[in-house]
Amino acid sequence: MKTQVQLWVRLKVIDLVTQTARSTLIEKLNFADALRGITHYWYWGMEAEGADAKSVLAEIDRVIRLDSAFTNQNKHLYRLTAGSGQVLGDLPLEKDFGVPAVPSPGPAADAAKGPSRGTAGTGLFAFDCLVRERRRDREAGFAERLNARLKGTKVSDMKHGEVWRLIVGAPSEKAALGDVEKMLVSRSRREGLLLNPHYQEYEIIATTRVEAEKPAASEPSKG
Amino acid sequence: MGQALQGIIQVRGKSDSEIATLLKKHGFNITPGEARRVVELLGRDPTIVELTIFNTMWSEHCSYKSSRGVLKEFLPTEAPNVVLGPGEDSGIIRFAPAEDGDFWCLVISHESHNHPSQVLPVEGAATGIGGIVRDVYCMGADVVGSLDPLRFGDPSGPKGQQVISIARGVIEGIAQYGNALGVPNLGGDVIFDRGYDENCLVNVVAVGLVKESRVIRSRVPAEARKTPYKMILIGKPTDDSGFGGAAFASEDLAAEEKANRGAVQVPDPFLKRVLSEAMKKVFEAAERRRITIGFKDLGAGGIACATSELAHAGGFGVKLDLDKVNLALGHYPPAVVSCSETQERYAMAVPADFVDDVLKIFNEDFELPHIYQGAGAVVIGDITNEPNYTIETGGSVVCSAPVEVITTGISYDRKGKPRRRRFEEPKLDPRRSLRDDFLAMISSPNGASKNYVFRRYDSEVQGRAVLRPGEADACVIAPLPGRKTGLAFSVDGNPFYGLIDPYQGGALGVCEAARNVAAVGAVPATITDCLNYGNPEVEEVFWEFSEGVRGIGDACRGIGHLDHEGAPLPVVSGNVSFYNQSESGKSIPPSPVLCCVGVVEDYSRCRSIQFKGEGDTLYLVGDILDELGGSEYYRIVYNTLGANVPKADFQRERRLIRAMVEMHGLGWVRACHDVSQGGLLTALAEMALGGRGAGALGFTLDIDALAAFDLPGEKLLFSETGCYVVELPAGIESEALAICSGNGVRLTKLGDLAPKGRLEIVHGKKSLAQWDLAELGEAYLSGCRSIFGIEPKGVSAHE
Amino acid sequence: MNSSLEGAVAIIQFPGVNCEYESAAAARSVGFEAAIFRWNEDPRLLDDCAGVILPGGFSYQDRIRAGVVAAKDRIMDAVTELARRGKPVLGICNGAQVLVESGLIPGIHWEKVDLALAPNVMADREGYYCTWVHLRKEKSACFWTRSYLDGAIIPIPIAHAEGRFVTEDALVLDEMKKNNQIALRYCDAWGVVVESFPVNPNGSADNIAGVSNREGNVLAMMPHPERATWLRQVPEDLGGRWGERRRSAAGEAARMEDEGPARAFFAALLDGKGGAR
Repeated sequence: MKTQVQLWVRLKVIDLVTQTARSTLIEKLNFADALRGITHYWYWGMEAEGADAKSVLAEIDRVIRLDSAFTNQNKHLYRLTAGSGQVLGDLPLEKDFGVPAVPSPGPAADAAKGPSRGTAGTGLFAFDCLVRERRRDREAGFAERLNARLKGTKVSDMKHGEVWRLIVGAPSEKAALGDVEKMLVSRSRREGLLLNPHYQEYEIIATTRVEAEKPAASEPSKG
Repeated sequence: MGQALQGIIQVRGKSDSEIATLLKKHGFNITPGEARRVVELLGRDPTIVELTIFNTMWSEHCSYKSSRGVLKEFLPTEAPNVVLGPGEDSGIIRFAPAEDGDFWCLVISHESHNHPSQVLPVEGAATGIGGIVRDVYCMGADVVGSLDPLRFGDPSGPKGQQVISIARGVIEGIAQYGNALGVPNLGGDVIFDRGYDENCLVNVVAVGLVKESRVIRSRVPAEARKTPYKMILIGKPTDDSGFGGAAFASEDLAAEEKANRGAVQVPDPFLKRVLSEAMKKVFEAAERRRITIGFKDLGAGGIACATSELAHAGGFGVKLDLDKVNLALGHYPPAVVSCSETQERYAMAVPADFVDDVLKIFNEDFELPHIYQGAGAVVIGDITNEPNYTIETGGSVVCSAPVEVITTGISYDRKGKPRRRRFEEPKLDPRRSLRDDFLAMISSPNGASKNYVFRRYDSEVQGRAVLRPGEADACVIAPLPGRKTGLAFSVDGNPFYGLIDPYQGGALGVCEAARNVAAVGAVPATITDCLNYGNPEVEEVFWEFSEGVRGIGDACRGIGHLDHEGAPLPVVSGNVSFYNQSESGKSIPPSPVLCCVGVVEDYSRCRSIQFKGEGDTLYLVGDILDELGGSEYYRIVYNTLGANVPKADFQRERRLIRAMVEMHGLGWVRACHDVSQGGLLTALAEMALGGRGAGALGFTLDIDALAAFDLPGEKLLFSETGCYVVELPAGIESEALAICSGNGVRLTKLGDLAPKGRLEIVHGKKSLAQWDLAELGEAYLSGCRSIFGIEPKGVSAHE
Repeated sequence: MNSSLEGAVAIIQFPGVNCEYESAAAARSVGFEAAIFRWNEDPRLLDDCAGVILPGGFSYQDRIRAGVVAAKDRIMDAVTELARRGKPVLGICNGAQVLVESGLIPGIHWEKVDLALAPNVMADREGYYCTWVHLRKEKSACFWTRSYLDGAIIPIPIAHAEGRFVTEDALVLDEMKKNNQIALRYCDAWGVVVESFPVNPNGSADNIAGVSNREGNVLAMMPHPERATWLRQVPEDLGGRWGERRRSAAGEAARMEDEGPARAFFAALLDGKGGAR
């Protein structure tokens, strides 16, 4: 039995890198209107083989909780998913929209609303952008490291990188994607920030149309 | 004013168990007895803020309650070169005259960050560096270096994987912080032993330079009597760092995030660098306008500890308004705001008419609030002549006590009982292969090169490096542009000696540190210490601790300061870390860590350990005795500690140091290395290989040259009696002999250097062992590769 | 607040850099005034400077990627304009990363990011690496290396985690070679460009250690010349000519202040019209 497994890891304390990314995108690259939220994760995606999805996931969970190459429970939240729908971990991924990028009046006001909607007629999209180095040596290393400790389960086809979840307000998904490309890929001094295409590349691994249901702003300081 | 105090906690009239429940509910660590003492001091029930302050300040870490008595009894802290002894954040010694009768001073502080590093190695070690450099900055000094003596568990033992992970994380944390801040690494060491499996030791030293006239004291200056002074809080916005329990967690957090949140201190060397650049401008402005300021960094105990101590040291009081404190997003109770351990903060007492300039420098010129959301400089209170310590918030008074009371310390007389263990010397097996045994030693984690560690640290930043980590026994910097003066640094502390005899552990730590500094020709000028032990409430452990301190004190007095007759080597800074024990209660080996700073007149005479010249001659300066107890040879080859631990001989150390300093002063020394861990053979191998692990000059030692010491071959090669190997040019033997006999130390000729790439041991005509320098170099360089180099099975995404 | 910097070398202090003081000292060692210039000061004050140095360190803590956040700072508008006018601009280590992320280097297509300084690739370790290496001065129009003879071997320290020059666009590399923009290469103590670790300390394409723009007035180099400006900074145990020179000066304090192997980078400013217009 084979299944796709994904591991998402995020800091539960303040993420200074994400704070800096946010303020640079808004203040220096003029995305104040478009960028509504940003969150940063470390990501591993792999194919896992074992008896059944539940036991495979539980075994991978056991190992990644103990190995600080993947998670340190003292500073990380994580989410482990299997293709068949099982989920383990303490990170509420589907509601995790990070710091509202639009400057807000204060903590009380933040708590009252979620990531602010775009103006009438525009949409709000969350794109999970996986940024990987073009060199793949570290990915093979992670697979080896897991396989050395897993019992009854084996992983392969390891993908590893950082995921920037960018919440963008735009008239359409296509327009939003255009903005995302401009936030991600450093093509010149004035364009792009999050990756340098000469040693990194990206792919969008998930897209969500965001509804402003619950205040994600309960975590204002975690970036 | 007579405002009612808010937040009173009832302690009076309650039983011990009721008080214990109450304390537990609030997450306090103080005992019911200590809580009653608070009532006694205040003359009433305390407020929650006041009790929180005492809870923090009376922790072992802040109060030194178990150690204070012993430290005072044994350690010498005064000498003619001391400007400031222990008491403020750093110690200060004079080391060279400056213009106009002023003096250049070295500022030094020494601390530990053991427990946090075991839990979060990267952040723990990084904030350890962050904290120690703050102690130096706040004296008005420029930080010029750091040292990192580290102890980890057994990388091949049952907890090996975790040990390696922690070791790598700690190195990465130190590198991340020190490199970013621009503070060069000036030495350190790494020692592995199973005794540290569950308790790594991360000790750190920071050193800085300042002119004596520019030293800034951690006290409100006397000028505040006549002109109003304000208290300014500078740096990161205050959050709830250090208050991890549910009792203090911010209401806004989701439940799953409350757990452990306060335990993580987020290091930010970038903010620290910007702060230190801004501070420089403030100091310059204060100097120009002849303004005296008081300055202190915030550590454990946060705002309350720093501001009360600033006031108390000057004889003043202070009134704080917590509502003015810049907070990270969230709502925190006053006890948290007063006592949290948020990093990268300072408190400054300045005259009221200087406030605007200070705020402008931090908030506008260096854009602190923009660089870090919520950071900045803000006035939080007034200095008062009335020596009362008052904290107000929301119009209510939450703390009000005489400053003297709120800063009252606490001290216990612990009992010690000798630990009785039996030690035996092993029976030496003459059939063992010397060649194989030595290869095993030089490639073992403790014997091998630590290049994978120190090449991760920037040792070149600031451009002052003369001798770098790995190149010599002590790192040397040229601190004063255009002048010959040099400063030498070494950290030492062999825990294996302490396992046999804790007194020798302390004494030999000082001897070795001083010896390392003398090995580059510097005169030892000051000592700092970090005393890492287990649970002081266990009598055997407390005995280990007091024996260790007694040894340190005796060594400092016995060796003394060569330039000041009758004066000891002063201990100007130090730290005690207790409770380093496993969950099952087993304590770590007694681990005093010592740092020695030396002053050298002419740094151009400081030489690396590497062999320099074909035709030069090697000599042994000193003696070799039957002292292999705790030696690397016994541990690696015979898997035992042995019994004959080296016995510190302070007079002999002093004479040896003087002889080395004189020899260097005459400019003859081409290379010099002390004999310590691994004995004479290790010293010779390290000299042949040098810091880079490659050399062209070899050496043949005939052990007949050491016949006078009357010991079997293995003991000659591996005894760890402290002495020196020195390389001198041909033709000055009689002068060298004169210096040595003038100092009452033995000089023994070992032989000439040879251009063959080989190290060889012979006995007369019989060859006992030989090693190609290439194979020796490979064994030496690669010994720690699997621990600190590329891990074959992938590396962390996070480190 | 700095007054006009006419004739002085401006050392740009982004928040988080840490080599600014020794860079200033190196510029002074050849007789130039040097001023530390904060990133948020009035950029017009730079107009008459003799040259600009972007020093080493960790601007913005290397967040996201070394040099990228500083590259977006407003002061880079002024630095770009000065570079366009032909002023000498030297980016050292983090400064080199800023120049690459601003597109000033290689500068083949205006402001385009054509290169990356990627994480080091090394044989037996990962991450930050501090050691002494050797550079070979390549034939180029580079202003900053003009005091060296072609082929000169320069011992110098490096200290970085992201020093690997790399590009996805092979045409860029061809163009750089065609224009002689590769100013410095890693080599061994005898000047041989050995392509493997440790002679190449970080896996840089073609052993590239320093790249200039076409005109030659801008140089991005990863090693630190300000740390090899005086003889006393040379490690005693270094092989080769400079190591011998350093060892022979042992015991002679006055000689410690002699010129070191990298002072000539700063000496290039002397007698420098520097191409400034």
